[in-house]
Amino acid sequence: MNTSVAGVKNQGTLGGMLTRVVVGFERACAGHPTLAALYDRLFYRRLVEGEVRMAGLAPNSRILHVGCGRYPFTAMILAGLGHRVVGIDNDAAAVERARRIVEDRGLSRRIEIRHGDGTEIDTAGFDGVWVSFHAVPRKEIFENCLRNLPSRAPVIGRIPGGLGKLAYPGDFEINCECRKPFDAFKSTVLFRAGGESESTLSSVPTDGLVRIVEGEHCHPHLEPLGLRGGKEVRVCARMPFGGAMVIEVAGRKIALGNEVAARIRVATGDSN
Amino acid sequence: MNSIAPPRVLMVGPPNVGKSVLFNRLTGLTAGVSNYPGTTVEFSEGALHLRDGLTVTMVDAPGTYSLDTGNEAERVTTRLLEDEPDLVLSVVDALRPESGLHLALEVMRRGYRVALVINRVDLAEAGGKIVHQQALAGVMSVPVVAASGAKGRGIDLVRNLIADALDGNHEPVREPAEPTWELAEELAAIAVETRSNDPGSPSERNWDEKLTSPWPGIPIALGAVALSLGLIVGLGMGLRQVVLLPLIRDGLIPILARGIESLIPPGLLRAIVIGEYGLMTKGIEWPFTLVLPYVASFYLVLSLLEDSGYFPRLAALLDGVMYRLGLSGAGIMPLLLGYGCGIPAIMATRTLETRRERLTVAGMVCFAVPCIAQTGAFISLLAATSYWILLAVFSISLFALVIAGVLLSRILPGERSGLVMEIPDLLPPSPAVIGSKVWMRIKHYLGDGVLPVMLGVGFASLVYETGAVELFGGVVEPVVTGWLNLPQEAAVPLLLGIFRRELTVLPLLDMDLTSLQLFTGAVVGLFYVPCIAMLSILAREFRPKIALAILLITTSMAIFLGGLLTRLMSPLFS
Repeated sequence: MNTSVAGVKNQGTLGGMLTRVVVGFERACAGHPTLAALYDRLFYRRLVEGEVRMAGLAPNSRILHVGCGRYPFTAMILAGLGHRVVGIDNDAAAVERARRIVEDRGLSRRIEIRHGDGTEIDTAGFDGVWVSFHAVPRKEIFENCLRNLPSRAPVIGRIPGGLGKLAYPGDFEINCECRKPFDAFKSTVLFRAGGESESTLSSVPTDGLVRIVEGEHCHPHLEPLGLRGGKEVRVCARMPFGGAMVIEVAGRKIALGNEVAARIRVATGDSN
Repeated sequence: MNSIAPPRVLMVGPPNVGKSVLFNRLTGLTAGVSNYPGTTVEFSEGALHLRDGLTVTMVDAPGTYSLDTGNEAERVTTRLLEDEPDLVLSVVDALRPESGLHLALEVMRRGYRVALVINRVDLAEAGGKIVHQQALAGVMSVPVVAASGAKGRGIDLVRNLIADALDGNHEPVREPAEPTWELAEELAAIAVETRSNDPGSPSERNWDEKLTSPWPGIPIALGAVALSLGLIVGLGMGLRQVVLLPLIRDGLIPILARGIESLIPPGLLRAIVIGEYGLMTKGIEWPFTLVLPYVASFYLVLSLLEDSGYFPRLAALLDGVMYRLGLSGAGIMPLLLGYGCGIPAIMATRTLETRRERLTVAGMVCFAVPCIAQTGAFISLLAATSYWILLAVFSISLFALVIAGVLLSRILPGERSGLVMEIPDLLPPSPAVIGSKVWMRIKHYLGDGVLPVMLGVGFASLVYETGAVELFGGVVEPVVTGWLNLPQEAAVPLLLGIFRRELTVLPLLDMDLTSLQLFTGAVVGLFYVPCIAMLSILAREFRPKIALAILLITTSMAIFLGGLLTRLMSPLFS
């Protein structure tokens, strides 16, 4: 895990404990392929696939994965989707183990595992970066990764959302507009090199003002209701228990289910 | 000329722009109207008399956002278009014209002759907007008028518009523009000019914001639901005590009884007609004094909720709960309609996006939502003994509703579609519209509800008077007396329940049951078969097989749960 052991101290005891649990889980996955396959199938693959859609990557992109860990789940899924991945971790033992797993799976042509640190690595030449949930310090990693990426290339990161915030207080308050109360342990943020940050409507907090990004529509009523590319949207309210969010676009109020809002891409921050 | 069918004019527009209000104004009919998207799920037809004795058939289609069809209600509209109407009357909302204009462009692109009505101009003008119908007509090369269906403004203009368009004074546009959103936005800017940038008064907006935020929206919603229930029960009881009991039981029935006594000699026939449980005694008393008051109070409250626009807000607030059941907030509206009557509820599921959701909600309505006629009967049956039993039965119903939702949405295959629901502006309900809606419901109940109940009571009376109950009761004895611990006569209401749901409950009123037996009877009645009308709607909207499955499942579950709960609850009653 990238800087994980060093970072544990800053994260409070609950966060530290969770990080240890995750490291332990990865260790278990590295030893037990069935467990790994199950986790992958049930949960993880969908998350990464959603992130890939959000990032809008071209086929055969070159991706850096910061904090790949002992069992490089993300790298393997990305490789399976047809991309080339370089995974780095600053834990030498993890790098060793991850290399062997990649070799065993016959993925060496698509995945390369290196020893390295997200706060220092040069991202020039990559088309996108994935930053692991447990990779810390987040702010420094994000800033470093965005520095040398080509313009508009995405940096995808996971930040604690909802209950996760209790466990990981502290340094993630970089400019992350993303919150998902009551629902998710972690939310995905996407930053584009060049200042603009992209995210999904579902992660915009109440009273947040965002602009819809041109793209495909997951529901036939979205366009007629005014949810079209370039339109300004204000989030009026979010219902508890993973319920709908109420948004306002051009003076019209609309209730959007969480799963619909999660598929509407929006731009936040000072992009104009 | 007379042998030729009158020209057909199809009204098309996005949901909740007031097509049905306009339709009612034009034809003098009473299509259902309210303030939320998706009120109309079927088409209605009516004759419209124009100048020079010309008559056309107006067709009011369900609202649709586009011609690329989505849900079942929208497909009704595209099918109506395929029937080649002589004119399409495109209805556009003056408050938010662009979606209606985009739809009009789509219709024109397909080569139909189009005339445009900009509706709800009264609301637009109140909001500081100016409608330029002539300018729009010029740019689009179609005739346009501005009107307000709700206020009755510009209705003559709409008539003339239709007559002129059919006369061929306006040819369909030769090369209609491609329907793009950019074009629709430009046209919208031409059609409606926003003078002041005032988005409603601040206090009004503030209120709306409060209603749709979890805090204080959810406590307000709970309060509104509690108040609605209180109003339904309170008004219903008041109506019964003060108006209907004196009028019907003490006024009408004795007169009828005396009249009939002079006509029919004592004997079996007289007993059936005006005996203690006769067709003309209980058969009139029950529907008029036990059910009718609650029908009136329920639809009064429902209409207020519908017409104010609070309904979709409630659906948004409850979306999280519905999400946990595997549904979306849009399912709330059919469920609430189901507490009135299951038939409109099943029809309203047409606005749900997937078949899985439609079936889940329809199944929930059939299984655990008592219609108002049955609820009225429950209140009469149980409240007299103990309010606790009434509360217990409704708690069980709510619990069963949740279980049914969870199970059905898990079992039925298919995707969950996300909620995308427009929340209309809050509008003060018009007393005249509320009055006519409640009156329509009462008329409907008097027409469809009273006669079957009278006949059912007459049949029950025949069975009891002739002793046939022994014969029939003997067959089902193991179930009715053995398993449910009910008296043998209780077999008859179970048989009658298939015709009207309240008939499973009403005859139990005079059987001198213990409170435990009342409870059991109510539970069985609650879960028991949907009525025959509901089954036929199920068969039509889904498949006969599904109606049959629901019939079998509800009946067996009712009897199983009735017996089970009797045994579980008996310590509480002893």
